[in-house]
Amino acid sequence: MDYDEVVSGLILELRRGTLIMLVLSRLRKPKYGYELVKQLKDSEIPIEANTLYPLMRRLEFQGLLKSEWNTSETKPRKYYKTTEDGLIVLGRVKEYWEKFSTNVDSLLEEENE
Amino acid sequence: MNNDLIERYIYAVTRRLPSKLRSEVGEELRGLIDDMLADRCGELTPQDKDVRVVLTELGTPAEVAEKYTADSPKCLIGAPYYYTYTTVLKIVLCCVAFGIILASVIELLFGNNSVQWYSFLGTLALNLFSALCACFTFITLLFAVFYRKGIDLGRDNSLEDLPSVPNKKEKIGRASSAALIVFIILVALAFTIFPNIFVVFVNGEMLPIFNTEVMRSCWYILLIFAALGIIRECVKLIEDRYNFRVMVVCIVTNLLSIAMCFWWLLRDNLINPIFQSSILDIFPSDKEIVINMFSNFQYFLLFVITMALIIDTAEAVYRYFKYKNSCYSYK
Repeated sequence: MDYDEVVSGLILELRRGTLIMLVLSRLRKPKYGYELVKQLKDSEIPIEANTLYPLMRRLEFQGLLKSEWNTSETKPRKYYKTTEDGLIVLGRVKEYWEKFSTNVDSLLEEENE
Repeated sequence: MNNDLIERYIYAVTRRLPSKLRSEVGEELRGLIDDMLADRCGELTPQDKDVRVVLTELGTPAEVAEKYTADSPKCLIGAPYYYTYTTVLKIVLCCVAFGIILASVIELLFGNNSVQWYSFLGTLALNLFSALCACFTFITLLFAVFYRKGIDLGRDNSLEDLPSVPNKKEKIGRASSAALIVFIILVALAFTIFPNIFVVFVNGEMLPIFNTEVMRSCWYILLIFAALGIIRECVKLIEDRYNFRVMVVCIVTNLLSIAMCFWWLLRDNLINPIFQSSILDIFPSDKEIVINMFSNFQYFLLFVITMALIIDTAEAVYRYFKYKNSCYSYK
């Protein structure tokens, strides 16, 4: 059995929704894409730029993020920020995540005992 | 620094994207690559090697473009339409093939041209191929539109909406739709390609009833007529039972078909003038009904087809209203 392939598939599934939650929470203050990539990397949550950029675009399309080009700096950059709707969605998802992860943790703990 | 390589990379990504995304994604990528280079090189000027490393890290252009378009549909016809699509396709293609083969064999047996077996097979293969291709294209296009537009094919959305199991009379038999498709193809082919199979025997000689030239020149009307019939039967195959949609489609396609028949059969010179003038010689004078029928053969044909279409429409309307409330009848 190719464990690596199965494991990376499962990890991908686990990360997908969690990352969206993190992006919404991190973008309470406006940031540009690569800034967020580095921040997450520093917190040991690596995400590839080629995943994050399309993801932010999708979230913007859904109305959870809004973007603006900042041309006042030397390099023009697109800044993203979580919208009001995004914050409401984040609040509810976070609430679910907290309960869910606690329950998952305790079940996994039980198994270890 | 190798700007050219960066531009080529961005172009390779954006050309795979929908046109409205291209310029903005291009700008975004340019900014990102710039940031990644700055991150890597700091104050130093990035070298070609750095550009290569950064672009490799970013992924191949195809991968990046793939991620940007992850939401858009990746197939022409996906679930839940695919199953219905293949079912309808199988039935229609089989019926069309069967109809064409049958029509060709009838033409071979009763037609008045002697043909060589190889030219017969050649024509048959050609007709089969073009008709099957046309049907395939048509049905595929229809379902691709359904899939793209998300048209509800009447599948179960909520428990309350689950249709009752159709009883025997409410259900539209696949066999009857299949048989009708074969019949429609036969009729259309008979009138367009082999109108000379309609003959009467006069003193041992075959006299065609129709004016072959004029009849053949109406091929496009019969093509529309056949297409309307096939659409109607496809909808019946998809819906599986008499319901509102089947009723509407039947009314619309049948009205159009009737219009086509009027357009087709009310033109001059459709009947072979020799046949027309010799009706009284052909049939015994005491069979008035037969003589009347053949003297007004166009109108007779128009009457028969119109009646058949009206009966089909009436059936769809009647069955719809009769079984409309059947899903509540068990309460």
